[in-house]
This record gives sequence, structure tokens and C-alpha cells, in this order.
Amino acid sequence: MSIKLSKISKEFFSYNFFNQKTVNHVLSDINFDLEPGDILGLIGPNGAGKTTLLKIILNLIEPSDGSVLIDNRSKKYIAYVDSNSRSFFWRLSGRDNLIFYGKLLNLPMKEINKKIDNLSKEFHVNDILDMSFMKLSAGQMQVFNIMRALLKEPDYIFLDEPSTSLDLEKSNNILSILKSYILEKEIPAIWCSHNLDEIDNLCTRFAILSDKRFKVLDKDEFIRIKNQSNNYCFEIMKVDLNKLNSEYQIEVISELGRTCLIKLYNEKSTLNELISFFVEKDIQLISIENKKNMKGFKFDEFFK
Amino acid sequence: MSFLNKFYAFLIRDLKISLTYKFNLLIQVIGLIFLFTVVFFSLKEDIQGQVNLNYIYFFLNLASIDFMLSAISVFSREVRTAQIAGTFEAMLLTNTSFFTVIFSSYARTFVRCITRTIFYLIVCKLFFYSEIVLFDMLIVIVSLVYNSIPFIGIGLISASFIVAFKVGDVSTFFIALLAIFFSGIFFPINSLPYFLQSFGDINPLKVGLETTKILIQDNFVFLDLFPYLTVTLIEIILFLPIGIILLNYGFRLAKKNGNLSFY
Repeated sequence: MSIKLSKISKEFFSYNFFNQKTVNHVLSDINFDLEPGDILGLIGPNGAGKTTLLKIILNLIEPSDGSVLIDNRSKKYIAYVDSNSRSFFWRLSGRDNLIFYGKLLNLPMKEINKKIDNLSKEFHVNDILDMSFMKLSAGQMQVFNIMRALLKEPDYIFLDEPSTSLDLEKSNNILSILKSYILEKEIPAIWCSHNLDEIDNLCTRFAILSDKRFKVLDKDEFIRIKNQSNNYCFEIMKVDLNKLNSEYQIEVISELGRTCLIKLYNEKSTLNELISFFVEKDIQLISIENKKNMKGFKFDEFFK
Repeated sequence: MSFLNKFYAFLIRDLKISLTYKFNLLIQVIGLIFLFTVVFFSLKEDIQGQVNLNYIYFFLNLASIDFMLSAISVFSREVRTAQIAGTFEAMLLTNTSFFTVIFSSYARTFVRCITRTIFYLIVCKLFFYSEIVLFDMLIVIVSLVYNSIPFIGIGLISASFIVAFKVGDVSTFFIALLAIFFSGIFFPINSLPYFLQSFGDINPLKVGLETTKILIQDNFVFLDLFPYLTVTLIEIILFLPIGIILLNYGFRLAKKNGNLSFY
């Protein structure tokens, strides 16, 4: 039950009004294997080709070159969770949607009903099961997206930003259910997300996709990326600003009466080291906020 | 069996969706009642308790056009809707073949056409003194379905353009227009210039109508049907495989271009 990708490349062509061709190279020479029990966390900037790669494995997009090897492909069920709520029929209820997709999966009606009951209890959506899909919130729709993927026991599972629109509590609950399900059944999985904490907590392997290239990361490399994506903002008293020296590059983001919000730039420092710095300088910390993002992150460094 | 189960799933899904559009259903019912009322009162003087096949032919013409227009347009329309909405990829991910999705999307329209035909024939029997029995209904429906298969082929060709290029559904419009023009429904074909009359002979809509008209006559001879059935069969052999091949090509092209879904 493994997946083997060899030399996958993909380029898209577009033509303007005068039939001039533009080539967009999305993926180039991608090779990797996915074994049972592997949960591969795939990170990369927007537009790197993560979704394209997943769709190539799902056989929804044809690669320009290379091959995807899956044993007995036609009999395998690959579950796919993305953040597209439009893949449901909005005028039907959540239950009717699940019944329809269950029937397409060739499941008997009795089994579909049983599965819907179990999943709705597990994901706490019993009370909205018969509500028209269009009346659900984006987060509730996403729960149904995940439930649909689990209607039939998958041989493989691919998750593309599965926690989109979910609140923190629901996200933690559902993602931990998903993780234990994947590990228990030893289902090979690929998990794409911009939330590096999520990837760190749930995945057993890590990879980065950027500028057409793919690289498997070891845990240390991933942690480095994760730390670099931290974006701590500190609220301090304005009077303490002059105590800060040039050890860090400092940016004052905003001023809030007697306090101000600042950012310290030093890629290698952990939160503990930053806090120690404030303690050493005898600067009172009012609050700390981590606005994580991967903006400005130099993905190319990992391919050198 | 799997195909029939999935076809049934599509039918139930589409019926449930239709039932949520209550106002649309009401308008359709009002439209049908209006149509029958107009036909009844405009022909009332002529009926006078007599059996007259022309009234049945009128409704058979309606049913034939219904089957034809549906077969030509439903595939491209459903494919486009599924591609825009994003349900197309989700359905394919259930290991349901592309062709099962395409053909099953015809389920509701197919059932609607049959239901309407039965309704027309019941009205003919109740209000237009037609001596239609259950067997006639069955034979009319079989004939209409058989004669709509060439249009299914044309509909698949039209859908292949939509799958691959997202636009270009002009074939539906022109083919429907030509088929109705050369059908003999609105004017007799022999009033056309001689060189154009032969188009009528190969027009699946006209051929289908002639077949059905013969079938509802009391003492029809199978030999009379033979030329019509043969023409339709040739058209089925011609259009259906072309439709399937082009649709398959369009599907592969869409996968290559990465636009099975487009929003």
C-alpha cells in the first residue's frame, strides 16, 4: 500500500488572444515514496504547486512527465479533503450529500447510515445533519468535507488545508481524530498546510515544495523553518524603548497610549532567548503575540 | 449493477434538488395546464367526440422535441454546472468513471421526458377521445427513446467541447434549429425545394416522429417501420461512438490542462 512518484514534472500552457504561448513550469523532477503509516507534511509558499501535485497523484491532472505508481489503482479509494465547500450540493442537506457520495462509493445504504451516525457523533454535527447545506457556516461545511472523506475506509488520504475555517477547538479535536485514525489504520497520508504547528504535531515526515522543486526535510530542518516563521510581537512601555540596543533589529509596529507594540528581528532566537533579552535589559513585558506567517521566508535556501 | 445504482443515486439527488425549487415546480405545472387548456379550446370545435389522430400527433411532436432538446443539451449543461461548482472532481474521486458521471447526469431529464410523454398521452385519452391503451404508451416511449439516441450522441459531442474548452456549445443551438426546421412539424417537408427535402429524410427528429406515428396506428405493419428504424440505427452507429470518442478526448485534454474544475 505505497505510492511511488518518479520524475514528476508539470507545465501548463496558456495562450493569449494572438495565440502566443506562455509556459508555466509548476513542478520539476519530483521523486518520493509514501509508505504505510507515513504522514507527509508538505509545506511551501502559495502557488508552489502543492495542490497540483496532489491532483496529479489523484489522477485529476495529467503530469507532463513522470509517473505515479499505486498498486491496483482502480480498486483503491484515495480520500481527499480540501477547503472547497462548493464540491457539495448546497440545496441538499449535509446528510443527503453524504448519502449521495456514499452511493457513488458503492456503499450499501445500511452502511452509509451507520457511518453517518458514527461520524456525526464523533464530529458533533448531529443537530445540523438535516439542515440545508447552504445554511451551514464555512467551518461546519469543512467538517462535512472531512466526514465525506471518511465515509469509506480510505487506502490513502490527502489533506489540503483541512483545518481551513475551523475554530481552534474544533480544529484540534478533528485533526487529532484524523491523526489517530490515520496512524491506527496505517494509511499513507499527505498533509498540506501553512500552519506549521499543525504539521509539526500531526506529521511523521516533512517535505517542502517551492519554485518547482521538492525536498524531503529532516525534523531539524523543519523545526528551523518553523522557528523562522514565528513572528513575535511584544508590547512594552514606551519609556523602555531607549533601553533596547542594536543587538536586534527593532521595528515599532504601533503605539498604544503609554505602551507600544514592537518586533525584534533575529531568525535564530527562540522565544525563551527573546524573553531573556527583555529580562536582562529590565524591560517590562505587557503582552506577547505570535503572528505566524511564512512571508519573506527564504525557501530557496533549502535547495542549495 | 454498479452503473444502475449510481444512475439511481443521481436521479434521487436531482429530484431532491428539484423539490427545493418549489416556485419553479409550480410554474411548470401552470405552464402545462395552460398548454392543455389552449390546445383543448382551440381544437374543441374539431373534436366533437371523434377520434382524430392529429391531436395525438400534436402531443407526440411536443414529446419528440422534448426528448431531442433534452438529449442535445443536458450533457453539456450538467458538465458545465459540475465543473463550475466543483462537484465534478469530487464525484470522480469516488472511483466513479467519467462516463458514469456524464450518463447519470441525464437521469432526471430522462425520467422527466418519459413522465411528460405519459402525461400527454393520458390527456389525449381523457380529453381528445384517443383510443390509447397501455401498450401504446409503452411502444411510444420505446420509440421516442430509441429515436433520441442519435441526439444523445450529438449531445455528447457538444459536452466534449464544454469539458475541453469550457465554451463552444453552439452546436446545440444550430443542430436543434435545423432538426426542428426539417422535422415537418411546422410545415410539410414537401413544401421545401426538392434538394432540401432529403434533409428531412435523414433528420432523426422527423424519422422518429414518422416511426411513432406508424406505431400508434392500429394495424401497422413492421415492414413499414423498417426504413425508419434503419435510418435511426445508422445515425446511432454514426453519432454515438463519435460522441463517446470526442468526450473521452475532451476529458483527457481537460486533465492535461488541469481544468476539470474551473470557477
